[in-house]
Amino acid sequence: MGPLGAGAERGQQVKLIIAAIKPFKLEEVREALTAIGVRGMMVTEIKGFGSQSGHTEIYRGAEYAVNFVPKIRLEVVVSDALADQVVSTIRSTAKTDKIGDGKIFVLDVQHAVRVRTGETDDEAL
Amino acid sequence: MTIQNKLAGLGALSASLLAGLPALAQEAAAEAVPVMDKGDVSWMMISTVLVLFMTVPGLALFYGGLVRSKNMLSILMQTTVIACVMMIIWVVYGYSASFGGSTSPWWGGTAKLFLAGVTADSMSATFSAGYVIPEYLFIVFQMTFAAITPALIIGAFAERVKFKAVLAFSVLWGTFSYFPIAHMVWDANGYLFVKGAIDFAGGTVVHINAGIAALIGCIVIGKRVGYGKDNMAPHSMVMTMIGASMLWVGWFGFNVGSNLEANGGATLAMINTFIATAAATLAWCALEGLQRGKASMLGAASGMVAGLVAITPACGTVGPMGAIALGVIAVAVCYFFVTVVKLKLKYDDSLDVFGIHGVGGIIGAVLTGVFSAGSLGGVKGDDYAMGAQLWIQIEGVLITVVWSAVVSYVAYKLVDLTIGLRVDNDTERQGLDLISHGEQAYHS
Repeated sequence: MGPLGAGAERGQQVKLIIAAIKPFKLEEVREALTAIGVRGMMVTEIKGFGSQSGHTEIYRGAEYAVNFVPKIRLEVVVSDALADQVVSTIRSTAKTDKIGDGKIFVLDVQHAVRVRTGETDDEAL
Repeated sequence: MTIQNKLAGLGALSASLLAGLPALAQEAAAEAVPVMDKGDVSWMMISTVLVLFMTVPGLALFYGGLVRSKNMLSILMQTTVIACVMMIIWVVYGYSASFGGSTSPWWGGTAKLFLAGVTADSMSATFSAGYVIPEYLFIVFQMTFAAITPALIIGAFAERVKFKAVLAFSVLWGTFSYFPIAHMVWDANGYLFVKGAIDFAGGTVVHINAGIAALIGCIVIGKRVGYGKDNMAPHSMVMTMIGASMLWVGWFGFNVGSNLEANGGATLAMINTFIATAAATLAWCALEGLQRGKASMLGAASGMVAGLVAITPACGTVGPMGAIALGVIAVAVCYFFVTVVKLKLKYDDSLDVFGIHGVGGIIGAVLTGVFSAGSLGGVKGDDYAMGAQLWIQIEGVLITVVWSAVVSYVAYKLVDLTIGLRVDNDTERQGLDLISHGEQAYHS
């Protein structure tokens, strides 16, 4: 028995998908994910850099390198069965073919619980 | 803005003389009674509050947007409180020191300390013989100029000075630089006025004067911590645009009000204040577009202010086409100073007070001598000697530069030895808002 309850009672395994995307792509990605059956997501405004590594701003004569550029961090928890489709959907909708389109990470989730009912794992989603 | 407040006195004097000379009374009285026109009075009251509006909130927001968010309130506070301090010292001794009626070419004397002898019936002369405005009105109109000028300076050493030090410097500099130069340029006995220098609304008195004090200030105080390394980008170009636009609106009080009367001359100053500014804004955008492919909001706001500064001394004597040329030339030089010279010489004039007010003021003051010529659309007639006027204009610039530089340097050193000019490094890193004022502009 694991720390979170009896493993035998658990439903199907779930996965956490974290994606950093361009802010203006968020609405398109949300629509596409909803269309394939994703029923919830978490969104945070973040700053960061990858290979795009920032940009330059010029104010009168002063040039500033802005190293951290604004991104959206999108977190989606779905059942294993849906995970691959979510990843490919994010990839196809968030893609602009320009540097800085973002990254997607997929992690195993140990346990998920719905606060209101106590349902667990994929039933909690 | 020539003025002596003697007309009213003369009027009263002539009246009493005439009483003793009944034979002449009828004839002379007709021309001696000065006229106070309610249209002039109304316009000048509006102009006065327009100039106040330039300072609070115009200049405060223009500068405030350009600093980092941790220093926003320090700028708003310095601007507001300097204006209030200057208003008080203006009525206590500044007005007397500038326009107290002394015949000295350097200062106005002590006759009107505490506004001695001024009542609601006292009158000041305008540019038209026989027309006067109430002296209280002239006092407050001039007061708004004295209030904004030291506030202009603070942009050069923004984000790193002690609040008390800024106030002490403003009092010293106002007393020993602003008041004497206002007298020299605008009083009928003033050294430069007598020479015939043209400074319609304050290119030398306000902008060169403040611009030079700003340059000396940023050199004496030194660069901001992290200058050239940290990101010091403006925190709100929105505030800066709002502030710059308020400056433009308020500047109609500054320039057009300097005509002291609501007449044709006022409308010349008005059209020039529109046109030079529009041309200057376009010029800055064009230069940015050519140089780096993008016109920026800060560029447009900078062009706007540079154009306003440059047309200030000239607005009463050049024509609208001269105003366009003046705006464009001033921007070309200001642009060069803020994007090239400042970086080369490595001084941290944080908000480009010298680069825009100092440089734009000098270009404006000198070129006033050129574009005032009738052949170039100005109001001066055939007898206008451009070369001679140009030399007088240059002399005015040089005197202002040297005077302001010396007074500023001494004033900064005095304040540094007593109060200390600069905050410590930790305070500077945390921001002046929290440490100097105990509050923050924004809460997330």
